[in-house]
Amino acid sequence: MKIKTRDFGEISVGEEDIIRFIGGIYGFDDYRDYIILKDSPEDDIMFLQSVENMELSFVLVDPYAIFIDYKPSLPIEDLHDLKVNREEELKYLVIAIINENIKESVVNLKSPIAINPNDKIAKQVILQNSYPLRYNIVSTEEGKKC
Amino acid sequence: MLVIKRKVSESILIGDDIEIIISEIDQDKVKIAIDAPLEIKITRKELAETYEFNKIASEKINKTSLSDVKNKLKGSKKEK
Repeated sequence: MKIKTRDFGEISVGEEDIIRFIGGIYGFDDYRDYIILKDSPEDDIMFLQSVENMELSFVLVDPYAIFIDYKPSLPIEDLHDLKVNREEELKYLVIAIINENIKESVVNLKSPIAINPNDKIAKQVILQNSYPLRYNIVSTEEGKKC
Repeated sequence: MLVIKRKVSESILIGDDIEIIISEIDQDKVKIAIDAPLEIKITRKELAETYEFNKIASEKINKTSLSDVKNKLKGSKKEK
């Protein structure tokens, strides 16, 4: 099927590329189906494009590119919703705010997008870890810890 | 900021009709019961902040800023 995207024009996607959100992304409950788009396969930055609304797109970042020790701990209900038993079975991507001033570009480590890659379902979860909700993508001081 | 010490089952009152009861304490977690009128909105702070974050994150981005971030990430990867 063909879909219109905000940043990549019209593209064709397969049914298997679509990730369905359980409960939507907080504040955007009306939209459930998304695809992940990248400029090139090795990129740590990607787009989460809504299939239903071409104007709706988020920038996602692989958290491990920024914070190596990222170890999400999910409430048990979220694991159930995502049909897994353990956190390790899920993939995690974090939503970014990209600011013109690179030092003010941040990611939300507290509420990542957790994806069950087998069932193609996802949910924005609020972790039990005390990770910051606004974490600088470019650390101002090296070795900065959460 | 007002700081008060409370034990399990003790409570505090905010105004005349909001009561916050400490119901359970377990190491670094505390279970709180809140008794308040229906019109009072009660939200976990991180949830409210996530809504706000998502709203800003959904705004159209500047391509140049995005490539800046991308290049920085690539750079920091090489250093490792």
